[in-house]
Amino acid sequence: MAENKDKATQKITLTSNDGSSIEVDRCVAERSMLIKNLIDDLGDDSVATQAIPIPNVNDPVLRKVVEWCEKHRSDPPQSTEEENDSRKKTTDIEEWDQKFMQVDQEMLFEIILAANYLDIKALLDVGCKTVANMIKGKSPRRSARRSTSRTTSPRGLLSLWSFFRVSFIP
Amino acid sequence: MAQAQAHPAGEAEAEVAAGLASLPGEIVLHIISFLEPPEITGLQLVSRAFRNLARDNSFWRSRCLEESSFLEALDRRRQLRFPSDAQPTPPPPPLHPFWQTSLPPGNGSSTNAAIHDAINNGRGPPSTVGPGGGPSLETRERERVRIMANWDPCFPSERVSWYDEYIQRHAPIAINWLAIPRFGGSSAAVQDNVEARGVALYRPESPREDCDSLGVEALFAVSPLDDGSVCLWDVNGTKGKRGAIVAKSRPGILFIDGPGADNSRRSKRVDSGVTECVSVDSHRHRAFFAVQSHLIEVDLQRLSVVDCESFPWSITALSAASPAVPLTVGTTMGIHLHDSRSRTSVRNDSNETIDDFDRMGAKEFYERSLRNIFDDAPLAPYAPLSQPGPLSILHLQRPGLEADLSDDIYVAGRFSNILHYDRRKFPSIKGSIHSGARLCSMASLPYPFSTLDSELRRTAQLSLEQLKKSKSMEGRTLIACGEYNTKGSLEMYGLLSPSSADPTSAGGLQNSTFQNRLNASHSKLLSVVNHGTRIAFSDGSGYLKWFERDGFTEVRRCKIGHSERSQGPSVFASMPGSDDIARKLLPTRAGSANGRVNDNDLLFWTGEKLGLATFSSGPGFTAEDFEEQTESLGEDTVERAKEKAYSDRMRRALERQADDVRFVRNLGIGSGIWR
Repeated sequence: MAENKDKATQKITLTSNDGSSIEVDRCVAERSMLIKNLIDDLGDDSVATQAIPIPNVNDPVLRKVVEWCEKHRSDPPQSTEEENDSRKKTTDIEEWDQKFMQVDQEMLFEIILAANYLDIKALLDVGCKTVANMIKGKSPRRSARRSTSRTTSPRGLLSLWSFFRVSFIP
Repeated sequence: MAQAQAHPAGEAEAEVAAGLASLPGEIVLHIISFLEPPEITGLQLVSRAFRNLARDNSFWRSRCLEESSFLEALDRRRQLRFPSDAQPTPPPPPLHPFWQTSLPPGNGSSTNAAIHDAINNGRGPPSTVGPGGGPSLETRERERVRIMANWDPCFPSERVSWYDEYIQRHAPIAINWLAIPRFGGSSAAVQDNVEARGVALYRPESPREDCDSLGVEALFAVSPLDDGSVCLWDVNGTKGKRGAIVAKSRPGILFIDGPGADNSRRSKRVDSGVTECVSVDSHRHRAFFAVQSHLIEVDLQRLSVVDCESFPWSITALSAASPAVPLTVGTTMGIHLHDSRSRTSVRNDSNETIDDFDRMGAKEFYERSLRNIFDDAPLAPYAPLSQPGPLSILHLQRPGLEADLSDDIYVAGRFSNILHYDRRKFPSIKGSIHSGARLCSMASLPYPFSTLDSELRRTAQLSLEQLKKSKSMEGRTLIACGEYNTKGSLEMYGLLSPSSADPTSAGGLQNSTFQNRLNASHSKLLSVVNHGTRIAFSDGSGYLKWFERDGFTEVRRCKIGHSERSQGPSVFASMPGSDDIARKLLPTRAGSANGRVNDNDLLFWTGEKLGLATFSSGPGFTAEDFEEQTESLGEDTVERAKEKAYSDRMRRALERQADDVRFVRNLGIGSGIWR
């Protein structure tokens, strides 16, 4: 158990393509399936001693991605998120993610590309949903939650109708 | 780029598009998967690359599955079977007791094994269950692929445009009515509607320049009219407006006694009870019309009668005409073959010149062919029927080939069996398939059909290998429809391929018959055709319905409704059973998908009019569009418009009041019982 905890907080260094390096917790880095598989393949020791190069991603984008991973570090694995895979896909995005995605478009596309490269499915989904909402012509803020109208009961309808009848029909 | 958010909407959109274009295709597809179809079609207009992406075949295929009633039914069934399990795809128990009890143990051990295989191999083994207790991502992906393969109605050699399929499965349906022909042409003062007596499609194989820039093929609906003329409508809009009349022959050329004679008697006209009374050979530009007991051949380019053959009994069905094989003609008492080419040689022997044909009606031909009957020469061989009334004759294709016809002829009608003839051994009967229903229309697929497999596929129980094996088998499917015990019956018969067929097996029938008399329709089915990857049929209550190829899962339905919109307020307008019904259906695209999108509409004949069911938000044309505006613009028109608006409003008000009354009465009954 202690070893597990060690692993989770073990520091890992990521190097972006412009040379700057970021130190993150291991469990944060493992949100990326690419890095997770890499660590599994290389073994714990080599990762502890040398930085992992991320050649396709530049520094600001990598910082942004790491920020997202920090926030979502304790999310359950993807199996529950994707429960309704076959169902209709919604474009609803969480509040924090919406704020996170309020960046200029170049950055947004860079994040999507990075998420695709690093294989972070949840981040990729959030990015794609943001773009989809842009195409839909909605502001991301408004599309958050659509209020569901409550269904009116027959009795309510009847009273509505009798009210209408009394007040408008001579 | 930080100022991007300050841009006005239009520029921002352009920027989104530019940014999207820089993304790889699969990410764009992922983004598209979050959009609704109208937004996706908007995206298609951006650029050629986007259009190709947004019409991606596998994307639309999965979209078809996601919104299909197949998946809905599957989910519902699973929830019923595993109510406590929240997971959408729970691993099933290794052996379900249901199967053990439902199948007799000794009989058909192979089917038992197949089902057990399906259960054991079909789902992922339990060891691949993920850490969260549910199946892992990989397993679920594999399961998704398997379910899709179970659903996928197309066959390996078939080319399907899934974008088209999606449109036909989900886009709104618009009913268009073709122009109604009038008596005596457009100039006559007194105009009266003339009813169409049947319909067939004429697809002239035109040279390239005849097609317009979009590659639209010319396509005409051919129909004999009540006044004895032949009328051609433009279906694709290549010669003018869509749905308008392109050409109409002189009236009376189809009457037996010719145009001049007295033709008021019903017995001289095209029988309105015969559904399959027209068939068109597009290759030779000939149309065959069944007029009582005579088969009249008309040249569609000159719209004149060129030949006529008489049969001893009146004609009740014609097969589709094709240049490769002779036409099969069903009369009340027998099945005949009619080869128009052999007639040509006979005609050349007699001393008639081609010039005569124009002036001649069918009468001379009729008299000559009547002489032939009383000739000493024996009748051409024909197959007598023990029970009268064939209604549908089908030339079956070769397995796997849509266009290539084989020598098999299937005949269905007012008898309980489907009769099978071989053209090479005509007139001896080859076999029969028992149906029990009264069938009136048939269609066929050049692909195999197995009842067991389609049953298992409906519950998504076959593995990928089994599906591949089941689909790559050589065979053909006969689809028939009709009426059984006053309910509609949709029947599927899997036929073995001729090479592997056991000569002793009756009718070349594989051991797979599926007769859907349960949920096809409450009323008689009138006509069945293949439409895309679905089966389309019409029924006696005015519905067009689309089913999956398993013959059980309904895809969608629509009502044809009335052809006359301007009929005005009528008590009968909202009554059930007052709608038009489609007696014959014809898909407007022949063969597999070509470059064009959404051109596979459904032409139908209601018994008097022609209509076209298209997949768009509004009808492209209505019958009223083609009526000439003879009224002068003036106060009269204004008054009339006012009057119309007023009556419309009154009708709406009355309808609403009727609705209110019904609503309140029901509530009263409900409260009376429950209080």
